[in-house]
Amino acid sequence: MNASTELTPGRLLRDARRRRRVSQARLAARAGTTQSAISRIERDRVSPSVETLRELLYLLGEDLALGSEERDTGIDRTLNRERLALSPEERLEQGLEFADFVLRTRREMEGSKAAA
Amino acid sequence: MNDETMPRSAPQLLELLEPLSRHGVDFVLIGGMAGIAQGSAYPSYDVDVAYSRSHANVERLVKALGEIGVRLRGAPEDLPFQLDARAIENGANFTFITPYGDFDVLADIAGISSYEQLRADSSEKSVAGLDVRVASIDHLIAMKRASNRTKDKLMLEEYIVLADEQQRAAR
Repeated sequence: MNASTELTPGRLLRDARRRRRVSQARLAARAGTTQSAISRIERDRVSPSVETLRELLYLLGEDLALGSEERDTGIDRTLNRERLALSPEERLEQGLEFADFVLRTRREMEGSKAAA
Repeated sequence: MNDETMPRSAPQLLELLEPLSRHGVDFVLIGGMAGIAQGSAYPSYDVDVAYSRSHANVERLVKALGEIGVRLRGAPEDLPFQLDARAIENGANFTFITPYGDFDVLADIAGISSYEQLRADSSEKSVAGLDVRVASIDHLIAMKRASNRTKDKLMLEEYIVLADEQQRAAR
């Protein structure tokens, strides 16, 4: 994720405050805190709790909407599903065979490199 | 594990775990082999176990390790190592080479608060024909999360997916 476009709590608050055309000082007054505290949050010098962020956005007339979604890890789930269909015993047998295959292949590749 | 330390063949699980079982050692299979038992597709080239630090268990562990024929891995050939309960109790984590493959025997495991917790959440599975306690996928995740190695970060991603797949399969 690009740092300049990354959505941080500070950026989220700053964007909302500017959208609402509220100064840091006024937001601080509403929240019973200091302008410098709001500034520190917006500059991501401190990370507010979800509850603090929710309250500050509430004071700006906005609601915090959190969400989550499944991460694309790049892991091929079909491999895991195939293994889960086996017993742990069978999984280990396959795993050991695969480890042997990898090691044998490495040796063969190193051997052909050395021969060349 | 780098190119120089890659073993020539996969470890022999039965030869490494059977003496532990026979001597009644209180241990839990962890690491890549436990991951495979849980459904991981990543290969593993060594065997890792966590063990209880009770004196009686350490005594049993020493007998089993003696039968397996362990030697300290990466230590100079002439470095004396007396395999006895005192040596095990003076250390915590031991990395061995054996005639059956690399064998790590660990008591202090990053990401795990206690052996008792690890054992409580483990489950008994058939491994190489033996009934062996295997660490839970959640504890395997905790161990990978506590490690900074690139390999472990990749495996962490897979273990999180695997936990999700297990959850789906159980529905």
